[in-house]
Amino acid sequence: MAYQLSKAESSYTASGLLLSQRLDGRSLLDYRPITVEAGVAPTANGSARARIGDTEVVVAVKLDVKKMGEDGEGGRCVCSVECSPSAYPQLDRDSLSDLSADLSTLLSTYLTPIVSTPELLIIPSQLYWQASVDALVLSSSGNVHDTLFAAVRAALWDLRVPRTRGVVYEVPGGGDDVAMGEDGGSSVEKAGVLDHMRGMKRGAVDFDLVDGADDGTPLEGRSDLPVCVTLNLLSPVFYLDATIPEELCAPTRLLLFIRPSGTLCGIHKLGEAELPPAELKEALQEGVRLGKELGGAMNARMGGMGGKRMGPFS
Amino acid sequence: MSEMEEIVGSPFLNKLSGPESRFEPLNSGNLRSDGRRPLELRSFEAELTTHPSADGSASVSHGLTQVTACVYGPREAKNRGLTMHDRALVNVEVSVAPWAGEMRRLRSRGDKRTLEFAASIKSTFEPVIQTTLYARSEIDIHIHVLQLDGGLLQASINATTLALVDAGVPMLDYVSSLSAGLYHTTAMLDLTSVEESDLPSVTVAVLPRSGKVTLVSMETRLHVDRFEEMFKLAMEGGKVLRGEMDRVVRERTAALARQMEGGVALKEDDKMDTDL
Repeated sequence: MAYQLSKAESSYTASGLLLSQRLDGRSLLDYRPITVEAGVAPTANGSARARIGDTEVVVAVKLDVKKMGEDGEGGRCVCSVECSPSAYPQLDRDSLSDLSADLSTLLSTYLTPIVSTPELLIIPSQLYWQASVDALVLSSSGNVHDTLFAAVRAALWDLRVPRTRGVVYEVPGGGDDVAMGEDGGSSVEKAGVLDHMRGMKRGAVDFDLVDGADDGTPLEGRSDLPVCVTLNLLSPVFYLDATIPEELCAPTRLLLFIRPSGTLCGIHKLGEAELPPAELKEALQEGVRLGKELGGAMNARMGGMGGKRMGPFS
Repeated sequence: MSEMEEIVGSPFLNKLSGPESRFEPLNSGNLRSDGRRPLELRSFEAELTTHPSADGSASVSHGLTQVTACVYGPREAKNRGLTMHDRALVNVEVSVAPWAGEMRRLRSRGDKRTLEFAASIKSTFEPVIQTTLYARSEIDIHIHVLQLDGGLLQASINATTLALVDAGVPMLDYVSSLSAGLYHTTAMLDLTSVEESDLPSVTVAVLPRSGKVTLVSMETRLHVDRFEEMFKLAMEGGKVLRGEMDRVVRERTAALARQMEGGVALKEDDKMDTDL
């Protein structure tokens, strides 16, 4: 990153951190105020704006009907992150798009297995909802990763999958249901809709949106969606929610993706420094504990506020 | 004029956009598709200082169109080769969020349409900002389109005006912008995206005090006799919007002044009330 820290400033910040003193008076494991607001984009199926301190990210999820490929795998998601020039005024165009590409890759790596749920299937092995998760980093003052994933989590929480039902066609006279398509136009025209099946989608060839289902169904596992906790390791201490100068002081940064139930579903290491395994173990244990706490707090807030607005908490 | 009436009254045109067509811009009760009267504007909301680190920022929404503008500067230019010895350089960057429209669409930074928008916003503001006061420096304007339902240019210009005011950049006047369209012989203001795709439309940016015009943008065909009416209405509408923008600026300044008198710094909780 083009942001530079002078030697004096860096050593001042680092020695403060080693003494558990931060410039803004927080303790090492404190977050700045977190604000999450869901439903900010009316044209999306789910959206949210998250703010940690002065870092702000907007995320929207859109669902599109897609045909499944030959592999029969479905429910994929596509991700993009755009870093606005107002978030990184010191960066030029090329480094901005590099940064955006980095974050996009990170997001799709950790999000694809989470979003690929059977709920997004419309007709098994034929049609599915493709979730496009798009993020816009509006401003940054450190800890973009946690903010980004908090916004993504809230947008997925806000996501409503439209209710559908399968449709099969029947050829009059013929005893069996015949899938439309190969049989030619005439039989299809004569064929009537046999049944609107709910739940049983195996023989379905097409789908129908259920009337009055503007709301749709929320994702089933949404309360167990992971949160991202970034641990900044400055041996022997580690600290959370670093501001930009604090981020630059940390030789290693660990992104932990933790479900509120307490399982760890991803680790990503940033920074060039090497890390002794013993230190990693301690950091992980503490990180998982903090992640559980953060995820639990988010669930409580979003559930309590009807998933719409959420005030600051730490 | 007589020729115009002939065209308007021709059965061919009625077939194209009359009651038989799928979309009816103006129904028999003289109401538009979203229930507005022809000259009624969508709800206009504006907020200043929405961005924590920009020198000035504003968020503006016209109905479902929502745009945020951030202003940096006047500051030392990143690229010194482009600076001018007698005035400041104005840079405009526009980015449209992928989810903004009806369909998801990823736009690259070099998207032609977006660049064109940026160029027209730049040329709108260059004569209005007093650039000669800041020689050899640069003013950057970043515009984010978060929601798009027609009126991209008008919303961007109004947001930029407010952001420039918020940044304290000296200008000759507010620039307020509004779009206008025409259905048969009825002019209508502040078009939504459905109306924009069906009707001839023009976007006008005015300096309300002097009545000068800094931008007229029209990408559709229209009979020249009808242009004046639309144009004048858009200008009048722009003056109304100026009043709204001025009110927002005054409210914001009064709030700041109160905080200065009370010796209370601008606190998070004050911002929470308004924007979150």
